[in-house]
Amino acid sequence: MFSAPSLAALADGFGRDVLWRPAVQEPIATMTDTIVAPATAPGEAAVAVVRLSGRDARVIAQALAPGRRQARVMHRATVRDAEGARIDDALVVEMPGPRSYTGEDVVELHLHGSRFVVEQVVARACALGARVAEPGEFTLRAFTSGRMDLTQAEAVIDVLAATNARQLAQANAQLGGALSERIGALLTRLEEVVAEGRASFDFPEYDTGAGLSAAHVEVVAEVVAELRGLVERARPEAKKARTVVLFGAPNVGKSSLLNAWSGTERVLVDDAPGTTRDPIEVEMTEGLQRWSVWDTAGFRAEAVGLEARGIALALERARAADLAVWVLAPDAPVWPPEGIEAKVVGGKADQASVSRRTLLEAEAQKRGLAWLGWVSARTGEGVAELRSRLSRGVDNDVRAGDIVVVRERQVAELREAVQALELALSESRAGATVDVVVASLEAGAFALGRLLGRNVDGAVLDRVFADFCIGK
Amino acid sequence: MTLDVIVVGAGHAGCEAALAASRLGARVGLVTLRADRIAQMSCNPAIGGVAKGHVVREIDALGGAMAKVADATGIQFRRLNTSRGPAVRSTRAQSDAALYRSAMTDVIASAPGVTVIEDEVVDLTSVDGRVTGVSLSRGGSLACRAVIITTGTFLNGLCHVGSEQFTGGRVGDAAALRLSSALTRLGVALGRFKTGTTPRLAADSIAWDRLEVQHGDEPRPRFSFDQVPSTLPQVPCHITHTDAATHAVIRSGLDRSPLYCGTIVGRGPRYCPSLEDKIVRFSDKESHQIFLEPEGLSSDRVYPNGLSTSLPKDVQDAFLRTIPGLEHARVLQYGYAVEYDYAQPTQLDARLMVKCALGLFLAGQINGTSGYEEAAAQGLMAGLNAVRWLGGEAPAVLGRDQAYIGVLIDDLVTKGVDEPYRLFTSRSEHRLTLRETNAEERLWQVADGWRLLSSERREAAARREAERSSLRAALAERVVDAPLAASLALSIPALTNIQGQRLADVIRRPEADPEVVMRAAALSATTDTVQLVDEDIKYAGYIAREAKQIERMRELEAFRLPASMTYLNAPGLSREVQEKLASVQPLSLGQASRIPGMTPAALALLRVHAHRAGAES
Ligand SMILES: Cc1cc2nc3c(=O)[nH]c(=O)nc-3n(C[C@H](O)[C@H](O)[C@H](O)COP(=O)(O)OP(=O)(O)OC[C@H]3O[C@@H](n4cnc5c(N)ncnc54)[C@H](O)[C@@H]3O)c2cc1C
Ligand SMILES: Nc1nc2c(ncn2[C@@H]2O[C@H](COP(=O)(O)OP(=O)(O)O)[C@@H](O)[C@H]2O)c(=O)[nH]1
Ligand SMILES: [Mg+2]
Repeated sequence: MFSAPSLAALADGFGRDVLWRPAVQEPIATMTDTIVAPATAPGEAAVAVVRLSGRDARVIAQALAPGRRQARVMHRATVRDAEGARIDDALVVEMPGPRSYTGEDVVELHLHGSRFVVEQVVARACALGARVAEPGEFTLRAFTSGRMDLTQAEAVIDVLAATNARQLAQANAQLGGALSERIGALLTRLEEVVAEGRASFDFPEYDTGAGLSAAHVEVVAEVVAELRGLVERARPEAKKARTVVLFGAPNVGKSSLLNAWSGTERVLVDDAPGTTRDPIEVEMTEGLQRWSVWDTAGFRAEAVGLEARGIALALERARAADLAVWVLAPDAPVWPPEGIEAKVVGGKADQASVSRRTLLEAEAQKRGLAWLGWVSARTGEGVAELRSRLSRGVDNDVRAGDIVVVRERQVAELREAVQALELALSESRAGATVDVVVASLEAGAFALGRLLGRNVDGAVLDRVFADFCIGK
Repeated sequence: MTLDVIVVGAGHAGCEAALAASRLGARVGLVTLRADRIAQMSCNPAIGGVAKGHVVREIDALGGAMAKVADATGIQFRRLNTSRGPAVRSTRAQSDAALYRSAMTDVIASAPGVTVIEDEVVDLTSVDGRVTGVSLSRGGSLACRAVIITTGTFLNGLCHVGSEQFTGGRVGDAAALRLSSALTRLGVALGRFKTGTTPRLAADSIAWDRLEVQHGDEPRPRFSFDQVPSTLPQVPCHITHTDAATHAVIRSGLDRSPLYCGTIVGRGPRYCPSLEDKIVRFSDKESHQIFLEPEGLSSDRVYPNGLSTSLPKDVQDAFLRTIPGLEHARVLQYGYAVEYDYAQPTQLDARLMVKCALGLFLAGQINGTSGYEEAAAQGLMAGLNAVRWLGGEAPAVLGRDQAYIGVLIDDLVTKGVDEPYRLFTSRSEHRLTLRETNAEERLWQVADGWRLLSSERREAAARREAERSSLRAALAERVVDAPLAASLALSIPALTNIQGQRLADVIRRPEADPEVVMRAAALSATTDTVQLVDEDIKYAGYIAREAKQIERMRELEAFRLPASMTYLNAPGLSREVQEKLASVQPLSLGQASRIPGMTPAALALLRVHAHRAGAES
C-alpha cells in the first residue's frame, strides 16, 4: 500500500553524512614557519630551483627578489644579497595557499644552476627568517594540510626512492592519485550500500525489508572483484629485494657473471682462485622487482682458515636465499654439495662445446638439479635470458596502465577489505541479520579508509611516523 | 540555604541531573518555570526507539530514573527491528504523558537533598570566571558552587504557525528571554536551531474503525533491568497516510510556510523533517505513513506522528481533511515550529562543563541535541560530573566502546553539531558490542564506582551478573548426553548429531531456541539473562571481530593528552589544527583523531609534540 521511499533518497535527504560521515572533511591550510630548500639535485645544471613554503614565503621572496607579481605566473626578478648586490637573475613564481603543493604559500626561484648561487640564496632566505627544510618536509606539509592523502604521500617517498623507470612510473601514477582515485571510487560505492543498510535499521518506520537488496549485493560483489584484482596484481615483495646467491667452485666465473648481470664492474675478477672471500651484494631492479644478488667465495674441499670461513658463510647465505644458483664451469665441473637446494647454471658458455653441454645437462638431470641455462660473461650469451627467466612469475602479468600496489601496508588493508566484504556477501546469502552484514561492510570500508589515511589507528600512525622521519 | 548544585530547568535533562547529583549526596536546587510541568513531553508521547531505547537502558544501568518511569507509565510497548538483528533491536513505549509527568515529579520529590523552586533564572553570577549562583526573576538570588543549565527549547524561544509568531519555549509555556545574555557574557557563543511538532487532534473526532490497528507486543518488553511492573492497560496505535490530495494542499500553502518564506532562520533536523519538507524533498513519493498515538489513557488528545508542520492554521485544517480517518478531525492545538538558542557543544569538555566558565555545565537540548533520551543522558552525566568536579574527582567519561552515551557526548564535544543532533545506531562504530540487552553488564560496575547505585540496585545488579556467569558456565561445561539429545531432537528436529557436544555449541546453531534448549536441560534463568547469553554465543564471532577493532583504536584512546598541554606553536602543526586542538582540548589522541579535518600526519606530529610535553601513553 505504501511505496517505501527510496532509501538512497532517504539517506541523502535525511543526512547522508549522519549515516556515513567520512573522517576527513576538508583540507586545512597549513601556515607555520617558513622552510626553504633547493628542489633540484645539487651540482652544475642549467637551472636550479629553490623553493620556499610557509607563512612568510612571499614576504621573504619579496625581500630576496623584489617585484610585483601575479599568482601562479612566472616573473623575472633580480635576487640580491643583504648589501643589495646582485646574486642572480631569476624567474620567480608565487603560489598562494591553499592551492599549492604544500597547501601553504609557496614561492619557487628558478636560478642559474650554480652551486654557489643556490647556497647564497638559501643562506639569504634563512637570514630573512626561513629555515632549511628537513628531508621530505615539503611533502609532509602537503600531507598534513590534506593536500595529499596517505597513498599519495607514500608515493612521493617511492618516487624519491625509485631506482628504475618502471618503479618511477608506478610511483608517479600513484602520486597522480590513481590508486586513491580507484579506491576512493570503490569506497563511495560501498558507502552507498552501507548507508542503505544502516537506514534499514535506523529508520524502521519506513518498512524497507530487513536485508540488502539484490542490487546492493551486486555492487558489493563488483567492489570485491576489483579489490581482488588489485590484491592479485600487488607486488608487496617488490619493495623487498629478492635475494639470489651465486656459488660454486673457485674460478668458474661467478664474479664475472654478476658483473655481466648488473652491467657494472662491482666485483673484482681475477684469474687467481680465491679472489672473493666475503659475500658481496649487488642490488639491482628488474621491472618492479628489486634483486639483491650475492657473490661468494668459491667452494674448495681442502680450504682452511679464513677461506673455509668464507665458504661456510657462502653456504649459509645460499640456504637463506630466495634462490641459490650454483655456477659450473664446463671444463672441470664441480657439483653442489648434498643437501642444499640449488639451481645450476653453466658458466663460460663460450668454452662449452655442444656435446659438453648435452653431457652436463644430462648429468644435472640425473642429480635432480634444475638447469637454468648457459651463460658467458665474456660474450654476453645467455645473460639476458637468465635475468628474464629469474624475473618470470614475479613480474610478467602487469600490463601498462595497471595499478600495482607495492606497499606492504596497502596490500594488507586491501586484503582485509576483501576478506570483510566477502564475509558480508556470504552472510547476506546465508540470511544473516542486517546488523552483522552491515558490520562486515563497515569493516571493509574502514580498511579502505585506513588505506587512504581517512581512518587512523595506531598502526597507520606508526607507518606515517616511520616514513616521514617526523620528530627529527 | 546553601546549595552545592543548581539545576536550571526540570525537563528530561534537568530531572536526571538533579537525581544524579542527589545520589552523590549533593544539596540540589532544581529551578524550573512551572512545577506542574516537570518532565513534560514537549513533543510525542513516547520514550525509546532505535538507539534511544539503548540509551534509556544505559540510563537505567547508571541508576537514572527515565527507564523506570517509562515502564510504570507506558501504555504500549514494542520491540523494534526484531528481524534486523540483536544489535539494533530497540524498545519503544507510548507513555501516558500526564502520568509520566506526575511519576517523575514524585521521584524528584522523594530524592534526598533536592528542592524544587518554581521561578525563572534570569542571570548567572560569577567571580573570576567561576559561577557562584543564579538570579531569579521574582527577585533574590541563590548561591551555589556549580550550575547545570538544562533549559531545552526555552532560550529566546520563538514559535511559528504560518506567519503568526509568538514567544514561548513551547506552546503554553513562556520563553526564557534573559538567560541567553548571561551565558553570552560568560563567553558562551549561542546559535539558533529550530524544531517542530504536529497538530494535536481530538480523539472523538477521528474515524477509528476505518484505520489499520497496531498493537503492542505481548509479553511487554520493558526498559528497566529491575523489571518494574507495567500495570496500565495497553492501547493500540492506528495507522493512516497522506495521499496526492494532501500533498496538493500542502504545496498550495508553501508560500505561507515560515520554513519556505525565510521567516525561520534556525536550522532544523533533516532526519525528522516537517511534512512540508518531506513533500518538497521527496516530491516523487505519493504517500507518507502517519501513526496516531494516544497521549494518555484518559486524554482526549491524539498525536499524529508524521504530521509535524508549521503551515498556517487554515492549511493544516485543509490537509487534515484529505487524510483517511481524519476528515472530520478537530484540532486541539495546531502544529508549530519553535526556534531557540543553543550552545555549540565544542565549547564543553567531556564532562559537559563549559571550558571558559568553571562550574557551569550545560545539558540537553541547549547543547544542540533533540530528544528526551539524549537530554536525559546528558543530564545524568552533567549532574554526576558537577558533583565530582566539586569534590576534586576525575571526570566521569564513558568511552565510545562502552555506551551510546559515550558516543553521544564524544560526538558533541569533539565534532560539534550543524543541525539538531539525534542518536542513531549508525553513529556507533561498535554497534554489535553496544546492545540494549547488555547495557547493565557494560555499565553497572562503572556506575557503582561512581557511587551512582543505591545499595539495593548494586545487589540486584550483582545478582544478575552472577546469574549470567553461572548460566554461561553451565552452557560451556554441560555435555549433551543421549537422553538430552533425544528430547532436544523432539522439540527442535533440526538439531541432529548433538550428542557429545557442549550445550553452548548447541545454542550457537541458529535454529536452537535457547529457551527450548534450557527447558530440556532443566536449566533456568530470567528471560533477560537468557537473551543476553544467547546473543553472546550466537554472535561471538562478530563480537570478537569488533573487539579487535576496538583494540586497534585503544592505543590512540589510551594516549592521554594532558589538559595543561598547549597547542599554539606546536611545531609542524598548522595554525588551523593548532586552533582546533586548543578549542576542543581533546583528552586523548583518539579524541583528537575525530576532530573534523585531522589528518594522519597532523596526528603523528601531535603525538610527537605530546611526547615532548611529557604526555603518558
Ligand atoms: C515543538 C517541539 C517539537 C519537538 N520535536 C521533537 C522531535 O520531533 N523529536 C525529538 O526527538 N524531540 C523533539 N522535541 C524535543 C524534546 O522535547 C526535547 O529534546 C527534550 O524535551 C529536551 O529536554 P530538555 O531537558 O533539554 O529540555 P525541556 O524538556 O525543553 O525542558 C526545559 C525545562 O527548562 C525549564 N526552563 C527553561 N528556561 C528556564 C529558566 N530560565 N529558568 C527556569 N527554568 C527554565 C522549562 O520550564 C522546562 O521545564 C521537540 C520539542 C518541542 C518544544
Ligand atoms: N672464457 C670465459 N672466461 C671467463 C668467463 N667468466 C669468467 N671468466 C674468467 O674466469 C676467471 C675467473 O673469473 P671470476 O669471475 O673471478 O670467477 P669466480 O672465482 O667464480 O668469481 C677470470 O679470468 C675470468 O676472466 C666467461 O664467461 N668466459
Ligand atoms: Mg670471485
